Amino acid sequence: MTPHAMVATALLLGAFVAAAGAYGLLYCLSRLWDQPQLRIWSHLSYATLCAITATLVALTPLYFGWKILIVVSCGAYLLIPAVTWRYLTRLHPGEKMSHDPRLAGHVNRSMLGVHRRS
Amino acid sequence: MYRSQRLGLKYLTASTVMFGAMIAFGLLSSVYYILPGFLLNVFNFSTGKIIHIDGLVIWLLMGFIGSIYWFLPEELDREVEGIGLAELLFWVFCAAVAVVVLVFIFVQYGTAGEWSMWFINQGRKYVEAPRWAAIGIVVVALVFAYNVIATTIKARRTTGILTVLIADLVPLLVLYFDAFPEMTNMSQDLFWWWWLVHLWVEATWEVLIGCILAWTLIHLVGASRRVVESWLYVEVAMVLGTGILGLGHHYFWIGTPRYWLAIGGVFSAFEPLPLLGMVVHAVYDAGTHHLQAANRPAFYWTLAEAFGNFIGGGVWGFMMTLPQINMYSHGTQWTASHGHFAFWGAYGCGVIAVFYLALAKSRGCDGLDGRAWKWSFALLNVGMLGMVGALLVAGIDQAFFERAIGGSTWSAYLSMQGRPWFIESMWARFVFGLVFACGYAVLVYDLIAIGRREEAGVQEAVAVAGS
Repeated sequence: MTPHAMVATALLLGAFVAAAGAYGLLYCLSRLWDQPQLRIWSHLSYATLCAITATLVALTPLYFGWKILIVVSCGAYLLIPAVTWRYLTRLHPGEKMSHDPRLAGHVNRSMLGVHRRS
Repeated sequence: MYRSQRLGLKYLTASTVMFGAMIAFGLLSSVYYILPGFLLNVFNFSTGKIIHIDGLVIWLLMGFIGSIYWFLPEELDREVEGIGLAELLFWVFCAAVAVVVLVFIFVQYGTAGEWSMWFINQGRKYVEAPRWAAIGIVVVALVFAYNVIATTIKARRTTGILTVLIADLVPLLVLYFDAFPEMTNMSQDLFWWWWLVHLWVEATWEVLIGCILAWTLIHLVGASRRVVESWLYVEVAMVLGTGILGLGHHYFWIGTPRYWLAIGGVFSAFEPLPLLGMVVHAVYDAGTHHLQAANRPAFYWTLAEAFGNFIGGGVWGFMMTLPQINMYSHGTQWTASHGHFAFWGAYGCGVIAVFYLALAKSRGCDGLDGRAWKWSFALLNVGMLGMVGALLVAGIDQAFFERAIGGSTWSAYLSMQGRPWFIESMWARFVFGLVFACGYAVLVYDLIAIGRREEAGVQEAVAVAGS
């Protein structure tokens, strides 16, 4: 591995996880606020992740095994936000949060620890 | 308030003091890079670095212990068993830390013998405290474990979070015994030493902060216990699944067999996956609460924890974790950049969040807000981002010129210290270190002042009701 290739590969690996994070964040925000534009941005982030994966596979001197691992991770990053989201929404069905004044009251009580004594 | 919660506040206060000491000695250590003759023959760079790193370990440990003493009685609706002993040991712990720091500052080093190991410096990186103090830490940890387990037994009930916590305390304590062996073979010594350092930081501490944040979410935003506990189990399984064998990335260049390259690389590559899950969870919780909570500083510090953990641990870690890159990057400022960001994100932000949560209750406030916490939040995070950015540039420069081109020779190392990018990065790190220190000063001011008006109001109301 040449010095230039080492630096370029390292930065691409960092960008790989950063793009995955951006995809996860935008995916959640698009689901949360039901914004089609955010959904497009989340798709673009995942496309960036795929482009970085392709660059890492095609142009860097990483060993074959690491390239396979990166491709597998790219697939996993596609699934994690969706699976986690589904899991969370299934666990949370009864919870409607702070816009519900009763919950806001609960939050205040729980902060004061009053709910345990009342 | 329970006695245990008062003790928790004391631990959180001591933790904040140690946080300050860590920053002071970090700043001091950063000066040596820009003024190489600084304090020559007066105070060693290595001693400043020891206090900086050991200070990090101690402020976080005190923060974790304080957080658990805070939440435990609320969790079980009873006072903590053996609280008197715990209170006594708090003062012993603080006194021991003060003595160790004074010995580090004024004695610094001794001859290579038993005396130095017992009374000056144990000589093992990150656990340099002399042996008497290391034994003291074991005693404090044993009493702490007794407090948690005995209280649970006395209460005749447990919760999911508490069960995970108790299960985690066992390896947390057992792994610390790794601080004691004296091995003359460097490879063997490092092999076992990494069990302590890695398996604390990337396994047992992750579980510990997971439990603390689970309680934080319940108390902060009224999250459902069922949800928080279910998610805690998933996160703990994923973090331990990737983190335990992620140990391999520390075994790359210390004389261990070649298969560790594959094990370390594979499991380290998987380590960011659960961190992304945590980000999704944080965004979900923040979104469902419309970024609002009664205790805003605690809420924002909790959010910073999830993002900081992902970026500092995941992005910064994956950049340099594959063996082909790590061969050049390990031990450079690149590693320091990753270390700073990951510790801050994974643990530092979480401890600060709990402190704000505890203050709200101890001062009888419905909520906490104001301007000072926003300034400290901004200054601390901008300072940290600036420091890790500067260290990253310096580290890449080092990996490129000193390691990849210079072949890791002593001459390459020395010539590297004079390269413009390296020097400028060290200056930038120092300047952003000052920004971080300013953020700390505002944080301390805010922790002292926030909610005082409400507290005075509550006391007044109690006095009126009583009269």
